[in-house]
Amino acid sequence: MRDETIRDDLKASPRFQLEHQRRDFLGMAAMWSAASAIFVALLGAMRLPIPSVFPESNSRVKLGSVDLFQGVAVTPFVEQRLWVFSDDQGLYAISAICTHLGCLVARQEDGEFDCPCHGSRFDSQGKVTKGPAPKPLLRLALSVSPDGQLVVDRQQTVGPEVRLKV
Amino acid sequence: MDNSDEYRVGWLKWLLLVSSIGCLALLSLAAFQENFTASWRAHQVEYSKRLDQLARATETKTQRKSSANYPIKVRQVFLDEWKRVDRCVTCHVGIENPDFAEVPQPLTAHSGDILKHHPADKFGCTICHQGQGRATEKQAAHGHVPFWDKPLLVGDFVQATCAKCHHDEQVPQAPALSHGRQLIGQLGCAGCHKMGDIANRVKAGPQLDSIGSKVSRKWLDKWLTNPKDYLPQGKMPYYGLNPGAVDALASYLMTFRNGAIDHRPKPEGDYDTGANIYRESQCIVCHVTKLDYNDNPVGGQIGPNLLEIGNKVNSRWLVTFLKNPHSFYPNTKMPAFHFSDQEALDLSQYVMEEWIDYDLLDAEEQEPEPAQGTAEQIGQGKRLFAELGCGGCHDLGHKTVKPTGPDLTFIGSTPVHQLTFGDAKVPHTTPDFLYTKLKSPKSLHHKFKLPTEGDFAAAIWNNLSPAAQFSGSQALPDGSEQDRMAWVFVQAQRAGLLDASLKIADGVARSQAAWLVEELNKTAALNPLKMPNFQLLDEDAKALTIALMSLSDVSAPSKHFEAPRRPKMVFNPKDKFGKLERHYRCLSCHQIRDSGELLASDLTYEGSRVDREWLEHYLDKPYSMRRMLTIAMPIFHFPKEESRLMADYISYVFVDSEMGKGWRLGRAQADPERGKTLFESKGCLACHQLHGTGGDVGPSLTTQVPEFPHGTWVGDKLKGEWIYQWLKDPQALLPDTIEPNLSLSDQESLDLTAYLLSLKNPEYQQLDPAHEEPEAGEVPEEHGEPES
Amino acid sequence: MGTESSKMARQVESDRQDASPGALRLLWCNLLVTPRSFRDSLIRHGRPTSERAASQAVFTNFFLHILPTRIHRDSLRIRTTLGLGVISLVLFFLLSLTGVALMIYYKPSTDLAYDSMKEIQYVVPTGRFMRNIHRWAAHGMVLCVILHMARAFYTAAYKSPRQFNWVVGMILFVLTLALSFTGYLLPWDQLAYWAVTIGSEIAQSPREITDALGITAWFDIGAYQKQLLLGANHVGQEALIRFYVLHVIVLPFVMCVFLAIHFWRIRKDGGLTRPAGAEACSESEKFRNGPPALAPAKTYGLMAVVRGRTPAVDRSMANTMATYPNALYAIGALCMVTFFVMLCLGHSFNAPLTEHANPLVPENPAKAPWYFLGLQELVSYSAFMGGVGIPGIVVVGLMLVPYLDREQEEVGVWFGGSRGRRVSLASALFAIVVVVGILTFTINYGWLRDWYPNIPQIVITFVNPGTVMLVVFSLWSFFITQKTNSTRMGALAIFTCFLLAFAILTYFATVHRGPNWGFYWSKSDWPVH
Repeated sequence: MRDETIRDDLKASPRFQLEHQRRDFLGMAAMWSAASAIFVALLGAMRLPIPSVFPESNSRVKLGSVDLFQGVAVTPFVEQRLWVFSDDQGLYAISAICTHLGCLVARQEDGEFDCPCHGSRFDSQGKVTKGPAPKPLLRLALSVSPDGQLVVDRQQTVGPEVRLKV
Repeated sequence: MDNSDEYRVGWLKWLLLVSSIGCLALLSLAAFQENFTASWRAHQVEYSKRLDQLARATETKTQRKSSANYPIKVRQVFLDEWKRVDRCVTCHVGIENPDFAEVPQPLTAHSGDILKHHPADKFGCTICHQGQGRATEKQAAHGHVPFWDKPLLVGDFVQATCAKCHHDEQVPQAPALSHGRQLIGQLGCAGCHKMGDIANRVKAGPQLDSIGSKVSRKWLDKWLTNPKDYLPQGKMPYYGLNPGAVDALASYLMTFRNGAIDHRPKPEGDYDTGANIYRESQCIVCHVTKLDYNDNPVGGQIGPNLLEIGNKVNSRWLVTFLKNPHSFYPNTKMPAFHFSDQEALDLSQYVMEEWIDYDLLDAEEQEPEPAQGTAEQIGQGKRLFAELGCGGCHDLGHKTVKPTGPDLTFIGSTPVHQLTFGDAKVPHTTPDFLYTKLKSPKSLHHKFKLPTEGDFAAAIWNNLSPAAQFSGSQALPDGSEQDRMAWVFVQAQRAGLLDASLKIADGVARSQAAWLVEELNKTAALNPLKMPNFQLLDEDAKALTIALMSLSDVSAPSKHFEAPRRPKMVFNPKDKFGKLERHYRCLSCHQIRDSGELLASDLTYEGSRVDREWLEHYLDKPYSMRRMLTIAMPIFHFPKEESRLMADYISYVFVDSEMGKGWRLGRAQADPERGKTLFESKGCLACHQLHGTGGDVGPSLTTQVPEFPHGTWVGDKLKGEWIYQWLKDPQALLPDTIEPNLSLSDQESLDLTAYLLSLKNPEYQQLDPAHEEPEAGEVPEEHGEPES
Repeated sequence: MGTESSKMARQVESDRQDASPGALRLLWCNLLVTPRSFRDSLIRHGRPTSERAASQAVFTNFFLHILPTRIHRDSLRIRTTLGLGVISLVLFFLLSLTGVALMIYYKPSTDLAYDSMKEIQYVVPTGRFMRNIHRWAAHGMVLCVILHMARAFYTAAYKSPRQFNWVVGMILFVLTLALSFTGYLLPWDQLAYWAVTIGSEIAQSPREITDALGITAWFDIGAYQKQLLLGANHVGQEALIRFYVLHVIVLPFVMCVFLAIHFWRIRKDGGLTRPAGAEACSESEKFRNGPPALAPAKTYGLMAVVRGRTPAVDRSMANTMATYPNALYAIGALCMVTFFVMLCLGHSFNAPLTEHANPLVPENPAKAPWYFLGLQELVSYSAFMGGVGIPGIVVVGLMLVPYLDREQEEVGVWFGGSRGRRVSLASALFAIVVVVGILTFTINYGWLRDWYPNIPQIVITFVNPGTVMLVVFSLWSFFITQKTNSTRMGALAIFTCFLLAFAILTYFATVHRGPNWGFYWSKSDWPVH
């Protein structure tokens, strides 16, 4: 008890405060610098797990001559995980990757899409009709390369009304 | 320590003791199993014992030593370039030991001499046989375990894996695979299925652009219902179309007419003249014209069957066609003959009268003329035509058609669980799936579960089956009645005739089962599957299965990859000869530089083979090469300038300057006398005839052809270079000839060549003084082909 | 010091003096006594001959000093703990050992991983055994950790002063699941590939929320999480190596740190929970076997003089017993029994290995390991809620339990007595009715999207069978708290509900879900391909 009173007295004296303030300033500065250095280092390290570019296959893939996609038809591209549809208004591509949890949907005889993993179902236009999928199957952007090849960009999605006119 | 009166530590000690002893026991058991009981150990011990026995029998010291030291261990073939490890040799230890040919599996030696060309240390086992190379237990190694998609291939199915390296259509050592690949081409599978780089050069079926003018509607109806009824050997498969679908399709097809033909007067020709033309033109080379006693077709398989053609085609069309077949079918193999109008008329008269079934005709006349198709039916037919993938085999209009069937590029390596077996009772393996699919495509489907027994649907069926309303609709899948009923209901549901709970839509009386059938037949919805039934023979189906199994995504390291020898370029010159070829369709029978068919001889080096003069005469008046053969090259009645041009072209262009070099350099040393002795001593007469004596296996060396304006003996016909080459190595010129390779020395060959060249028909000697040594050699092919 | 050996040494010494030429003999004698002298040097005090020495043996031994020198007899009773904590730890050790053994052969490359599994299975001596034990021990550890958590909960072991250790326990639980999940990818078979594809998409599922808010373009936390996990947009080589690093280094290391904290806190928080009355009832027996002379000779050194009260020292020595050998036998027996069970499993059942991973062919049905199947059922209602939302709420909620329920009665008693038993039973019945009811309803009538096809996703995210269950359980717990005026009863109620829901959903998804996640009474009803 007595010690504490003395200490309080001491602390109260301006000279003590001044001395301690100076010492504190240095200490505080040192501590804060160390903390911020470590923080910045961690911040930098946080960037490490995500590379600037992912080691992945090209998102843009040529699917073959545009002439092949005429009339009303459905062409599956198993490796690219998509279907190319053509109708009177033009071409569009539907991704086979379920928007729920990334399984591959299967196209049924009636034109609808079934997901094997959690029972999502999509109609022939990719709209969700059943199950947990939060959004319709993705429509992928189609374009025609200068050499007349149909090109799909698997990273770029478009709206359901978009058609590629040939 | 003993204040634990309430808490007893004793049972813990017991627990500790028991569990520890348990652990020890289990570990010992595991150690024993791992080190002593593996079945491969027993096999290796057995092998070692047999080695010992053998050694004792032969009493060779070295062998005894090696067998005594035979170590029992896991053995493997490490395949660096294939990135595989095969441990099959852990059990199949005797695989390379010829002494073990008679020993039962797993120790038996590999059969045949395949290991000579495919050494085990380079190719291992699973490259060809499949299975799981890394495994060391029988079931797992043979791949008969869950989660292993490539089980052991047995019997002929092993040939499927030859395709990893051997990309040629024909792989002589793999007859089933070759046959299957050939069938793929013949049946036109690539019309509907994408199959990697296999593509149909020509569509398997005829062009249909003027089908409406060509055939009668009645015939077309029958043909579409079941083509095998009319033409059991035809390529057109059985689609099982129901009457509604047949109506729709036929209506659609009949709209494709050719006005020019329709408005011709009905022709009248002379039957007997026609018969003559028919014989001269050797139609039988390409067309089936009769059946033998066993109902096997007689004649060529290139063109369509002529049986009952009188019931099929419109005679106006036939005349036009015979005059100029290429205007109808630009890709047909039918040559354009030089028929005059009258000749065409006569020939068509003969054909239409010769191959007609009058009973059938009468019967047909009894039937009412089918009604003109309605616009709706035509539309339906058009849709069906596209849906069924008819365009895969038939050109109609000039549209590019995309395959309607599934992509089969990697069908051989598709995981089994991805194949739809339905409820078919077949083992779930890829070969079984393919075989069943080929044999009866419609059996691989799911049984449709009826809502409950004895309910409404069943009532309809009971109502139906005795009345056999379905007899008219042939589209039902194979299977029991229950299956068929289920299937009908699914179809009815799809067609919108029944709602989800299989109830007939409102407004239709429930008892009207017939109504349902009728509606179904009308809608053309009764098409179970696109895949038609080709009604394949068992061995054909098996060969096809093997060929399909070979379509796999497993690729060989580039070192072992044998590029296909398929022609990169089609022989199609733009010069005069090319024009003639396209007119006469030489390539329908002959091969030139890997293009064309091998029904007759390969003409690629014909110029180096035969004498030009002989050739020109031959083109004018072809004759059969062998007594035994009745067919020969058709008589085209080439105009003189055309046969001259062809003969010139062939002798100057179709040559190989390297051929028979030895003859050209060494002919001075050749002695026909020595050759004659050689000819006699080598026993050539066993197969070849000389002046009427000798065997009938090879062609005669002194063929006599009456009225042929040129010598036809071997020396008249063939060139020395070719004979020399042929004598040196016949198989080099014609790989599958049965001519023996006599391993003649250079001098012997020279002598024999000289002798054969001296065999000229003296009657014609004066005719060809100019040319080299047109002389005879052993005439090549065992099928004795005509040359053009 | 071993008196025997010193006597011997003295003898030797005198021998040496007697006959000095015997240097060889001297060495020989020393060699003869080496086994004994080595043992003496190994165990610093030799075999304890008194209780005091037994305490010493524990206290001064490097490996044993984590244990108290004396232990309450209740703590050793099987019904107190069921030995679940120790079993979990034993399994962790087993997993570490077999894991290191497997690492020798395993190659974390998409080309080689599957083949290395086959090598382990077919040609590595004991390899199949190691892998089987590793797999079954992993399942066993998850099971034991869950049961251990339930035990701790039902005996109110989370209460003061053990609140923080409960939180550490929850962290260990999550780490166990994470270890198990990361290990799942390594064989690179179909099972692994598709389970991890689904798992990584769950990490991306916050998109459901960001999409609804329309901020995905700027703030795509979902994609960030997924990419962090996979190092790419699809499961591939990058993902494999990440999972490998997590599985063999990062997570085990973190696990060890938290395990150390967990054990340290057990000691510091006063050992295992036991009923407050445990001392009281045996108070009469105090000193029955003698005075505190039994106490350890050594006491804790004073590191510093601090203010405040000193930590409570066990006041009832009479109810304690020496750790050596009682607790050691208990632990040893648990160890060996666990080991034996694992050996049996490893010997009898092969760990599954399906086909080589094929990104083009999804498994149908693609089922996660059993302990995630309950979540998978929830995920099949809404990816975000089932995969992130509900498990997050449950884990955080459970962590908060000790801070929300601060009653100190009935600590260390299973279910906190008969009232608690009744509440737990009622809650169990309630949970069964609710879960089975909701499942039945969903299967027969579908959910919102089946009735309103154009319903916005955000509604389904927040109103789906999973969230409904969560809300109903929370209300039930609130109701119980209200009714009994006891937070402990409320906690019992909600925990029981969670546990039962977990069990039922796991069972349901295991048995009754088939291809396309459809409902089937049994596997034999599955449509055949």
